[in-house]
Amino acid sequence: MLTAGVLLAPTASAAGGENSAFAISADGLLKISQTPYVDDTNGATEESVVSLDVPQNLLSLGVLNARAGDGYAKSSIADLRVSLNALPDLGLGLSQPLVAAEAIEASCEDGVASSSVAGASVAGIALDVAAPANTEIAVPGLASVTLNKQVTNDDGSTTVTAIAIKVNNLQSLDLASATCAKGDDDGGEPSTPPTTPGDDGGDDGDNGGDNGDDSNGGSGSQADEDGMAPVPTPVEAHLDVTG
Amino acid sequence: MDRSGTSRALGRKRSARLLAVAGAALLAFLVSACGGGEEQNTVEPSAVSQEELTRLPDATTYGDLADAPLDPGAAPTGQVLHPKKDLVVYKAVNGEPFAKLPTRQMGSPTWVPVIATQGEWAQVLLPTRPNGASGWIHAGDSDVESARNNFVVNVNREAFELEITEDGKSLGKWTIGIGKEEHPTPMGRAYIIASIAETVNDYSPIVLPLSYHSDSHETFGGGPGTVGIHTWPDDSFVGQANSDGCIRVTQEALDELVKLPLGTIVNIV
Repeated sequence: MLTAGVLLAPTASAAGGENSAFAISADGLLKISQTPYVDDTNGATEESVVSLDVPQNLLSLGVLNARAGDGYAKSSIADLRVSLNALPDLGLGLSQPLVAAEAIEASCEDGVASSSVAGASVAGIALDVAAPANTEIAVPGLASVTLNKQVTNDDGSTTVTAIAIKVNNLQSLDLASATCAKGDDDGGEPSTPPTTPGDDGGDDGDNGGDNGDDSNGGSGSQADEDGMAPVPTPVEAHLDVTG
Repeated sequence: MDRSGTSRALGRKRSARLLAVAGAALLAFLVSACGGGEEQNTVEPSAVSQEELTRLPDATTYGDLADAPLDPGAAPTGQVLHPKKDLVVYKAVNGEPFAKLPTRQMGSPTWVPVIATQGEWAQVLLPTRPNGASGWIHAGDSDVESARNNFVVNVNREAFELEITEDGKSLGKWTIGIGKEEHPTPMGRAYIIASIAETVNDYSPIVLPLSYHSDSHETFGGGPGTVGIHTWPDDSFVGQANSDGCIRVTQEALDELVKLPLGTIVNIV
């Protein structure tokens, strides 16, 4: 019986700072706590994970990354393949992997969320690179698949999940999630539209239109009046350097 | 002193290009007048699709860009750049894209040192593994904030000495601690990637992570083996090789180091 699922050691509690991100989470027969989970309780934080304690026949991956800080969050997945056919109780029996993707990203900047995928498919159905917010796609055998799922939380923060899948009432899978609060700036700065080089005109799934520096009040991101690089302002963060 | 000369030079290049497209006769004149090199100098980056962009890994201290061209060791330009948005990083001028440079590093605004320029393109050092990773970015005014940085830090491991210079003039020297024999402080041209008011570790109020990583610690604590500059609660490190790769400095030295702009080069010999 596999009903006990696969349990990972718990990471930090999800009830953390108001800006947070995680690359993957699964609930049901396959359980994966939000990994890597980061929030800004300790200031700017980033984590990468290159393997999960999950059997290879269920899941394989390249890199998972998540980072969060004041007013921003981002998560990304490289080279993911999830196939849950080895969980017979789920009754999936798909001929293709449940999810295969070369890259999945979700980012949130000052309350503005976006996501994008590359070389991605769900049950063999190819996904749009940058789907509009809350795009539902019908996949036979799955209860729901939502791309670029965006939710406004009770505290006013926004959560974006690049791919959210429910197989049935036994299994859910969230891939690349980012939650950010609306920045506490004066709101006067215009939000520059994304102008990524060679943008194909689609919704910009990356944070190419970053306005995070504006929300930092421009602190430390501009030359002084003489064109000299600015003296940095230390930013609350946590990074284990090599002591 | 012309402290923003590079930025103005870039502006002139752009003006020249705009004039060039204004008329075919003028274009012909400019090309012949400027020679073949000018054409390459003003080349715009090739289109990168949204899908390609999504595939590109982020250049942060957690990244490992095995394909990155290594620092060729050219003399530093004294210029630092801050990306105003995520920028595509190329292997060469208009070459293959292999990464994207985000606007922040550990919460601090990203500033990278420029080690070469070609028209509007700049070769910059990157904060990722492997040590000495570099890449080319298209550094037009809409893409980057440009600034001068005349400071350089020189670290001599054998002499346990750290020196801060401005315009080549020494501003001070301090005795430091370095990595122990089995976890040496890596040698090369690193730079300061962020200024961290450390919230968890209590050995140093401020930590200056460098672009370089330990060769012997693939990871350290929860981090990716980033080498940093910081102080230590006692003076047991002074003149010693007993860290796990970091450069330990006195509070007096740290007080000066934290004033240096992000992107300041740290030469470790």
